[in-house]
Amino acid sequence: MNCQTAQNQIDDYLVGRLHPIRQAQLDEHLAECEKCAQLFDLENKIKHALIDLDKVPGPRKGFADEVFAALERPASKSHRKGFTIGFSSAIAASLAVWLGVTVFLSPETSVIPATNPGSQASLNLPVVKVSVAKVHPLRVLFNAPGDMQDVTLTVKLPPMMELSGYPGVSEMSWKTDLHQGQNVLKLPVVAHQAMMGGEVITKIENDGKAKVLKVLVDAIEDGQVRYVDTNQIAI
Amino acid sequence: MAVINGFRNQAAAYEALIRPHFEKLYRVAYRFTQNQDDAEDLVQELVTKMFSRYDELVNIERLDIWLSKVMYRIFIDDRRRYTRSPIKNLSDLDGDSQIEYEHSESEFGDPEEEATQDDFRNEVRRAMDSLSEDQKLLIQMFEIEGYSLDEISDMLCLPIGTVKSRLHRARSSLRDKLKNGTFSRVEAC
Repeated sequence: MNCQTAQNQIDDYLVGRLHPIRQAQLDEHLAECEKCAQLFDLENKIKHALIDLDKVPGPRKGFADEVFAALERPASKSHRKGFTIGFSSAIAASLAVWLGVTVFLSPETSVIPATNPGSQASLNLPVVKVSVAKVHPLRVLFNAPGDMQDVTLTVKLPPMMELSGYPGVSEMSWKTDLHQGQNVLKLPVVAHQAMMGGEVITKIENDGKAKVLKVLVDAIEDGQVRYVDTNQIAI
Repeated sequence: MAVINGFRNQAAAYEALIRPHFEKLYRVAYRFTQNQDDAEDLVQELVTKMFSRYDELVNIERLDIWLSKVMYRIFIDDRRRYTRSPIKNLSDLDGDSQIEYEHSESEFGDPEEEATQDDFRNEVRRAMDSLSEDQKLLIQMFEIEGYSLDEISDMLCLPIGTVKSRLHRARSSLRDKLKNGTFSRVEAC
């Protein structure tokens, strides 16, 4: 077996899909060829590191029961309930951050203050802590006093942070409608490096009026975050 | 009461059909969305949508792959909808506005003993992080979840040749990103 053939077969070997005869031939080659053996070792190490790093937790306890129980509810409630379960589960799983804002737009742009035990006192802004390289659903709740049409929403992220699914995009805008009551803007953010106080800015504009919500994000390397942080942000 | 395949109703029959695949579907959903919250929403949507197609589902051979394929389409559609408008209305919910946030605690071993391994894992994580979402997904599905090229091709509606070449590029890219610290390119011998 030559090196090219050997290297082409290493992947299949590592995932257990190589025919036993081919496997024996590859073993023979690896015993003789130091370079290919090095590559094999590296690929093996990568594979194990990936498995260690990338563990997906199973579904939370009770989630399957909730999903199947929802099927037996009346159809008209089913869709709505579907979202309700998602909403509740997010809170139960304590993985989401909800920030509330009441939308009474003032003529001038303003930064919304927040009372938050974890915030930086000097800035008085809400602080959210996330792990680097993990997607965190950050949600902003808009409490609209009435239906609002053609609202422009703009989200600006700090450097090295993006919305999951939109690589390299640091600013996004949408034209949308808000309905009376609670509207949720979901921002699945992911930080690509550690940072302290990165600003996530959400701007809402309508009829020449604007309101801005700033949130500070501390992104911390995984493994360094050992605490449970409960934020109650009242605006 | 109508009895379907020995079950008390269609919901029970459907549950018996889907539940064995539930965890696998959740894992795939997590790979697509990269977070628990969206993965739950995605699985919920899939299970709700497919309920009315019970009669069709009972005849599908690789149901897990078929459902994963449907779920991928839902995921892509959701992403398109998000691009149009990210706002969802929650006015009819009992809006508990509690804000809660928790980081999972990590397990810590002997730092000295695990230092080298941790360094390498961190390198791999950074390298994975720098890949595109598509590349990352392919590596996760193939290397970690153990799906075959055929299955991935079916699930993502891509020709197998495309899956193969994209996966090859993803792996090369991962290896290249790691080579500075740990790997010297293998030369022909």
